[in-house]
Amino acid sequence: MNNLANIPESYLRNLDSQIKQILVSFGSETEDNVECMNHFELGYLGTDFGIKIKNKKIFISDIINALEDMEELPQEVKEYYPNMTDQEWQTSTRLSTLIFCWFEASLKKYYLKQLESANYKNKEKPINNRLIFSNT
Amino acid sequence: MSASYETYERYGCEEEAKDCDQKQKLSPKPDHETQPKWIAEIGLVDPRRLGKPKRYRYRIAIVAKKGTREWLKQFEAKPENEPGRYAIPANELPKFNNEYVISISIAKRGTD
Repeated sequence: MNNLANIPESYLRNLDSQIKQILVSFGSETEDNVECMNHFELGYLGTDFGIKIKNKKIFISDIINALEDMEELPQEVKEYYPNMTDQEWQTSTRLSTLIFCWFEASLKKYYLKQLESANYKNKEKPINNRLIFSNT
Repeated sequence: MSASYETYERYGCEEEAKDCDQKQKLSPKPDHETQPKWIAEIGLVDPRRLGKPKRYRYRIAIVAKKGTREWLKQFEAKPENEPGRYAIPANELPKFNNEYVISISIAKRGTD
């Protein structure tokens, strides 16, 4: 089942491009958002699939997970929310990691569904958002 | 040809990992002696989903004798939904260590 290495590069790039379009549409085509899209890509490291820093072997979910080692509320956040506790900060970072991992797992499931699809091999099918986020 | 051993993994903190490496066995967590010890088939557990990274910073790899899986099956947590994850009861841990474990090695996540 875990056979991501068989996915054609062209399909991966197509999915990458469409995910970025979805994200920019969800946010806005601002300078920050567009710049962000230029610095990540979908890809796999070994058998693990996810959203990674472009041209580097680092998943963004790993970076978000590493942020959890900052257990004390950072000063920059404290300036916005002076009454926030360290526990509430830790809740925020834990949830961020989980949601990001969930999103990646959903993308992977979508990918694998495409692999199983008989029509998939010779076509670059449009991305169906409902498929990506269902049945996780 | 099938391997003459089986491999499993667990994620833990630095203290636990070094203890496992030194003693070549899984030990109960101090003050949690009655809790089961979880191990899993290789690649099934994403440590990022478990909790704060420093608590799961190390991958503890366990090489066990052939036949271990058969014994572990009785402790499989959710065979239908999450196969391959085993909760070894505290009172069965000595048997696991003495009769099934061949060796234990550790690696820091991000460096293995």
